[in-house]
Amino acid sequence: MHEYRLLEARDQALSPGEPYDSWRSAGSDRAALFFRTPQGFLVRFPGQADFTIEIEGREIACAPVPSIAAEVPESLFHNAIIPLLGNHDGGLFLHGSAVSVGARAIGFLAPSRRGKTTLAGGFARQGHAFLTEDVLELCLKDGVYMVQPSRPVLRLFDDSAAYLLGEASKPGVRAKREMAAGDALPFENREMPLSALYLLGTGERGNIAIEQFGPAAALAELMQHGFILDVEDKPRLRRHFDRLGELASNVPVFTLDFPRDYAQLPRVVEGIVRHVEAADGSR
Amino acid sequence: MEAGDVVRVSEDVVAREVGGELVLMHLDSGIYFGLNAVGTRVWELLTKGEHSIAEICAIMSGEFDADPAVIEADVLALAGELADHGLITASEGRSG
Repeated sequence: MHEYRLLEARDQALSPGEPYDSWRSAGSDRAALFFRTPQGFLVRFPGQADFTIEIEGREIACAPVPSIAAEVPESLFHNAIIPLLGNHDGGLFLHGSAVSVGARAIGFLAPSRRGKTTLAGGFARQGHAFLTEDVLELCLKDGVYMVQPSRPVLRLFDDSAAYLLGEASKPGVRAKREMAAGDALPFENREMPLSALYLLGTGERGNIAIEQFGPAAALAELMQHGFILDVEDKPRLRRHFDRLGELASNVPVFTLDFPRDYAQLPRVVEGIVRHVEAADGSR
Repeated sequence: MEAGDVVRVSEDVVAREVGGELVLMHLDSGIYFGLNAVGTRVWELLTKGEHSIAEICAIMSGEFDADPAVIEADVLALAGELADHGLITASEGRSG
């Protein structure tokens, strides 16, 4: 465990130097910058917060930028810093959501803004409780990958939230908000065995399309969805590659594409459930 | 790439057998490479020491029922591709 402290707000005027790595968002803006410090790392989310990580002391300090909403540092901590450190410590964290189907869980892997949270919400709305909306943590127990439940919250853009709550969408609004789980959007707080992973396509297909990856191709794809704190730490990268190789060898991985149309979401959910049940039945 | 070139695997490559295929990844560039059974055997020979292409071809000819000229062409093509992606390096060495 790491000790977490929230510091006073401060701006990000000072550059810590040249980043050794960065994440880019769908619009190619830099979503996160990674710097080395004498004690560990500084992860900067431009316009949002700086996280200083002391590896030896296992301390994390967050300095939000002034006037940022209070839930932003909390969300960044849970959805980026925790999985980065978890992977660094030998865990298995992937960028994805997960929902229950019967007694098992399925995961949806995708970069930001590909619809994995909306899809998890769509499942929840039809009674398939969600376990996580943005970070898929897997623990291998007795040869079975168990999906770990995360926070009982869905972070959604307003139009997705409005759909899931049955509200009218507000045109032009593109902000994310947090929706707590409840009767309408049930949350599963127990770990569940992982049945399959689905990699979300771009939504250009007009119908539901599911195709299975071979294990080797699956491994290459899974590597795109990890949380890597230090891309220059080759021993850790090797171990991460091995962990994902084990996962790709033991869990079926599919591509999944579907039209991003709220009206069709119930049909998409039903189609995926049928696919999972058929795949589970054939094993 | 010549038959006499000596090849060695880059230290920045990880390899893992998955579902009967060998997956290679270059840790710096993130490039992936999948090898079938024959390619996997070539890779095994590459990782067992510094071999020339000709030496690898000679071993492969003893193991696979194929025209040695075809084997050499295939091994050279594969080695060239691996070298292009930085997964192996080749240096002029002993003649084949």
